[in-house]
Amino acid sequence: MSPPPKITRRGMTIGGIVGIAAAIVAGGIFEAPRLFKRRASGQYADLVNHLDNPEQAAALGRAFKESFPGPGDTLSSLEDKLAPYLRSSLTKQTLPELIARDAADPRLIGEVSGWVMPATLISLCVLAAESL
Amino acid sequence: MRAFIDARTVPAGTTIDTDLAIIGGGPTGISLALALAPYPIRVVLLESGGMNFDARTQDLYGGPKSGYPYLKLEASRLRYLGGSTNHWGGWCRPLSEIDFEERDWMPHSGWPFSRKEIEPYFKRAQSLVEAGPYVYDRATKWTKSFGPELKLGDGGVYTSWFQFSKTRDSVLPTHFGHRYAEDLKRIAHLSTYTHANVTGMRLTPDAAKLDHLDVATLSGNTFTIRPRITVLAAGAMENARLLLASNDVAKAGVGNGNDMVGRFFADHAIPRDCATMVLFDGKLAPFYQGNATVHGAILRATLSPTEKYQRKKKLVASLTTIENEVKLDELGQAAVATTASALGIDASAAKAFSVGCGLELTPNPERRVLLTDERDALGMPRLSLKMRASDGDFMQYRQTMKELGRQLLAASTGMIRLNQKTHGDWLSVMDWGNHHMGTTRMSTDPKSGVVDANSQVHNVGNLYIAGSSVFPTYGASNPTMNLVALTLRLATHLRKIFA
Repeated sequence: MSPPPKITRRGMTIGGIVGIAAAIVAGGIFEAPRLFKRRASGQYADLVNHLDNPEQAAALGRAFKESFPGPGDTLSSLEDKLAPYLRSSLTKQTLPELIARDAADPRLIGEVSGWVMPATLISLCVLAAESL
Repeated sequence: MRAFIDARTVPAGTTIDTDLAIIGGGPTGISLALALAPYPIRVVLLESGGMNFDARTQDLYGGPKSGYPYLKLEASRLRYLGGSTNHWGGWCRPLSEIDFEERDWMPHSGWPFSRKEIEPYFKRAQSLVEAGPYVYDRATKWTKSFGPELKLGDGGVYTSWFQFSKTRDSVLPTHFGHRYAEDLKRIAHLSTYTHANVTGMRLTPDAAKLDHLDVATLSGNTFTIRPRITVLAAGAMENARLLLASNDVAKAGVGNGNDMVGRFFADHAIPRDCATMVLFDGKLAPFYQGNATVHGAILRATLSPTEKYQRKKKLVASLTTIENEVKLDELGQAAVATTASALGIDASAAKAFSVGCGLELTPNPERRVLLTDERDALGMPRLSLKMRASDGDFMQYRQTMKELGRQLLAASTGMIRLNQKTHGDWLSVMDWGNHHMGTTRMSTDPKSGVVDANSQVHNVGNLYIAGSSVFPTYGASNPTMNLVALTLRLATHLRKIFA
């Protein structure tokens, strides 16, 4: 029977550094989407950056625009009206509060490719599609 | 004990006099015979099949269909003792009050009476279908140990409950023929004939009463039953076929003076995967996806529009089920992640589930069965079915699901995707409940129905019809337990007549 391996102070230090490094790498993997997430730019950036993942929101916004029943310029003019409204709303209430308000009112519920979503969130997704 | 009588052994040309003839040995006919057992009424129960499936007998149900894709006419029902309970799923839930009401947004809706009229019979019906203690929407209190109900925001949809005809040994659920055969044999004044097909309902020359029934077997035997009163309980398609084909005295068929027999055929539309439900925390109590047994009651949770919401939004009845877990596509993942993070919720454990439903159809006189020139092995004209469903019914259900989606968001519980939008979308996932209803509908006015509030055929004094063929409006609940309750009500009425 061989004696148990000796644990030296130097060995512990190296092991600790390797462990911390591994944790940093692992954390980096999970956090990568957030670190390298594209941020919105342009005239709606201040609004769209309220969203955790503007790219995913933009995909939803594009899906909504594709199925929008009216002509494209109707949607564009809506976007121009939406932005000031959302800016004003977001100074008075947080995004979760606005979403909760929408969810309490059937008139403030819409659909994106069948997904039932609050109107405020759909609006932000449409603006995200313009911004990315 | 009185053994069943094989109609093939009855001497040809025999005439059998009886107080009451029941045509059909399904859940309706058996329930009626059992309910009348304590009373001194001579009853003849006529069943087309025997104790088990027989392909040649089953073929008597065949016929063409047109319009919507629909099940084969011989596929939805079974022609032997016990009828369609030989293949039912055992789902039970009493009809709601609103199902009996005339709804101003639903043409041809409404029963001649309210739910109160049938309410006293539900518990006995529950006992006959062996669904355990009568619990239903009180199940919320019983099932807490299994997990919580879905948390929903205030709104139009709530957790409702089904019960199931229960497992006995290897039998799931109750098959009326095998379950009650011995009970029927113990009734001293009941004669049950198997392999006995009624091929004609013969009226008196003035068409005011039924005089006798022609009975035939596939072996070629024929004889006659001469009852004081007859109850036709052969299912929604066969009830209509027998009435229409018995056209020697009344040329349009028995009870068909106003061309109502065979119209308003209905089933429950069961679109599969009609929505996808996501729960942000991934937690779903087991009674939503399967059954939970509590104190002898087998329970399953569904989601229904409240009666108040149905009235306010003018909706058809529906019952939504949560089915198997599914994976989301990229856009679905984006919708969940974006919504959950905007709500400030962690959705890392989110799970998605397929959603199914049972949907009431709006009564439609053009959805109907008709006689064809084609004949079956007994020389009876076969039926054809014209099936259809309206966009309006699907859109009304879609609105219910959208409301459910809103309530899930309002409670920060989850969200919903509505998977069907166009008529083609709905058709592509359409299945049916095999719940035949409506072809001999109940109405106080002979111009708008075939039977009156007591189930008596308008203007034919001694002929009654029982079963879901008399349902004038359908609700979303499965019909078996309800038709048994309605039959028990008819038994009370008949008892008074014979007394």
